[in-house]
Amino acid sequence: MLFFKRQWPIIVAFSAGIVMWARYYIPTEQSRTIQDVFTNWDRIIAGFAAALAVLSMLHHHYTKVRRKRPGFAFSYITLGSFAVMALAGFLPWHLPGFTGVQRESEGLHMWMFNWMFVPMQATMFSVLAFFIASAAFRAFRARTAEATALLVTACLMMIGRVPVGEWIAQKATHFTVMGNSYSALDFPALASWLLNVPNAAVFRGILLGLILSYVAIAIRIIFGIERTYMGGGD
Amino acid sequence: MRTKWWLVGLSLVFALGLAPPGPQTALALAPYPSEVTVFDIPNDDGTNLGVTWHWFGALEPETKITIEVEVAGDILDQFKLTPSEQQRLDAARSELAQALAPLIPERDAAQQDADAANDALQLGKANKAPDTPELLRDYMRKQSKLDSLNARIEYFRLVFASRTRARGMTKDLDQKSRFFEFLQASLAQSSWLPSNVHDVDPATLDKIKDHPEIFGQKPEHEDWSFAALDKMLATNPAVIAGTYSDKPDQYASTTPRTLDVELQKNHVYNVRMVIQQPEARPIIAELGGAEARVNYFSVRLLNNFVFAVLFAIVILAAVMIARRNPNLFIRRIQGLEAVDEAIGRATEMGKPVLYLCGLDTIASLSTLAAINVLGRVARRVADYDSDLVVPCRDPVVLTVAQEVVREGYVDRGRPDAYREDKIFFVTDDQFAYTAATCGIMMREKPAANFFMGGYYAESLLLAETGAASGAIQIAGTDSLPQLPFFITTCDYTLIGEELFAASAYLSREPMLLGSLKGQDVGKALIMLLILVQSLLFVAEIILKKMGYDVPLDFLKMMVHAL
Repeated sequence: MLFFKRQWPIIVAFSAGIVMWARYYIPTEQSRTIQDVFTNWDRIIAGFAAALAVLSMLHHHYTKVRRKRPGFAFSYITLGSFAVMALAGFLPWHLPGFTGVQRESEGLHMWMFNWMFVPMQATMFSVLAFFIASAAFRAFRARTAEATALLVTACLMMIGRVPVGEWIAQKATHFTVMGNSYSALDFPALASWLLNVPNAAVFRGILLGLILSYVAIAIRIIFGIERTYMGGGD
Repeated sequence: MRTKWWLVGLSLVFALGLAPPGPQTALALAPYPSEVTVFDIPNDDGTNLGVTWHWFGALEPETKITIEVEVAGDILDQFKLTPSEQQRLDAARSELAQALAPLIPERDAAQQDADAANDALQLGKANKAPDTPELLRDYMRKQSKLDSLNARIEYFRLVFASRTRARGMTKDLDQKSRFFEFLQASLAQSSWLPSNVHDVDPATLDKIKDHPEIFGQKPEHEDWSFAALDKMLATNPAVIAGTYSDKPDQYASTTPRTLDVELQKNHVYNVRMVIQQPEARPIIAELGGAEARVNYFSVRLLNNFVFAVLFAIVILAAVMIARRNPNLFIRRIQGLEAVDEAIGRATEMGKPVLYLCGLDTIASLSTLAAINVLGRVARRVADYDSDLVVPCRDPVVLTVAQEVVREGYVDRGRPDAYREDKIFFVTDDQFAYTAATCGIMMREKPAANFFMGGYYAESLLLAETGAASGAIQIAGTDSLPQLPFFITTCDYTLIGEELFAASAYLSREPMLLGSLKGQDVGKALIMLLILVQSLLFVAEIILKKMGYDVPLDFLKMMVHAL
């Protein structure tokens, strides 16, 4: 049994990794078929895992309710919502008066999805606007030299990206260098430079490191050097 | 294969001769493809041909072209069913027809009923009739019956598909037999079949420069036209015979008017172009021929392959060196140094540690890296006798995370402390997951939050809520657009590659640390290449200014390829 727990996953990871790596360079139909087989297996495993996930969710909330842990009332709501949505999905219920504008043939399940779930999602997403404001407030407090630089850069970026920035650039004094006229306060150009030069340079540096890391972690997993993801540890 | 100029000239004369008399054709120079090359497209599975050319003569605004391929009759052999396959197909078809015989009339009647009920419902709604709810119920009932019949028909068709699909075959027997019938009928008419480039405006065709994967980054004649041929159009025998009907047949399927048949591998095709100008006879230009060959290696990925092999060798060599000399220096990563501090703080406060593995699936490398770090964190949590909460978004990640945490506790001799319900599935919906996780942060007030893996728009929602709850926060992600949000709201952020180094860093395992060293060598190599390329560019400019014309293009190209 220890073989199936320790060696077998490494053999599978190595074989699958090498096959999929080689497949990338081989453009034949058989190579595509192999990829399809792997993709199908992925879906099959995901299907079984989804059933386990639902059980896990139910177990978590049931335990919370049974042990009366803090916030257990929310678990009642979760379990109730789960039951209602599942039941509405299984049964082609249709309740008069619960019809949407154009979706009357979709039944209760889709009605709840479209008119309850989607607005709640949108609400959650819209909270982001307020969080950006509070995060910006925290980040722009000039307590250190780095934070001050961040504050100044952010201010320049903001001015460069709004119409008033362009207005200032037009109204400010212009000077001529080698026949070209430049504004003394050209915020849009400065904002573009910040984005395209220092920002792009840093992002490319990070990206380069990331890509090498992707390859390195793939090699570590394929050759069984990294095994923590199997739960086996070192 | 390059067309000779004299051939172009002859064809031009021929084309003009074919054109009807009249002022337009007599005066205008007929457009003609010149300098034509027909070739097998490299780096593909052998079902593609490429054609490049430039236009000799001016194109009329509404000119359409069709590229045709000449198909030899032996191609039919590839679609001919063996006697056993034919027998299997006949049996499956007969079984399908038997099963569908009572269902199709019933479905047609149900369709009529549902349509009538829908009409009545719409009328009732328009007139605000009092019995609209009853009409709605009637419509739903009839629609439901229709859906059920359609589902049954679909079920039998699926059974048919599974019976006619042989193991390992890409096409099912039904499709193969149709290809055969269509091709046979089309080839009986003409051996030239239209390709996928059919009746198109030549101005909309791609140029050579649009396909660097075939012609390279700086191709010659970059503005010449390019067309990739991968299919031939076969016509339905019923269309040729004039008996075609678009009604569903006894197998509940509609036979199409034409079928796109892939070009077959290792087969030579002659190619010609039919140029149709407005109010003129079509001009036919022979383009040449080529074999659509199977390519077993993508030559365009050669540089990628060489780099991958070299990098793998460097990493493995670094690992071997690390096994002999385990005392490797790795620079201090503050975010990872703080892991112990964060877990210790949680233990002191008697609060749990919250760990998120990101929103990506297990197929994402950032999720795997997050799982690796989770294994290390679980061991520390077990050591400190603290509590670990892991809400998951992906079912597969959940099962892996449960296993990793369980092993972490077992490894530290604390299997009793492991509680499976603390590593749980929330939902796979992005914002529902975010709402639930933010709820946990606000209710349970974890003392330490770890955000590892891939994140999207929810990153700031999670991190800002965590900051508001007063937790010490450590984030690590490869999602570049989310990095600023984490840097702003978290105490420590692992930027990009640091996330992938975290597992090695925390474990101090020499082999893992060795792979980090290998990564550094790779990075140094890339930096060197960037430096060399920059110097080459600068040197070229300086030398040109000094009046020397040194050809550095080859060197630059080599560095670029690497």
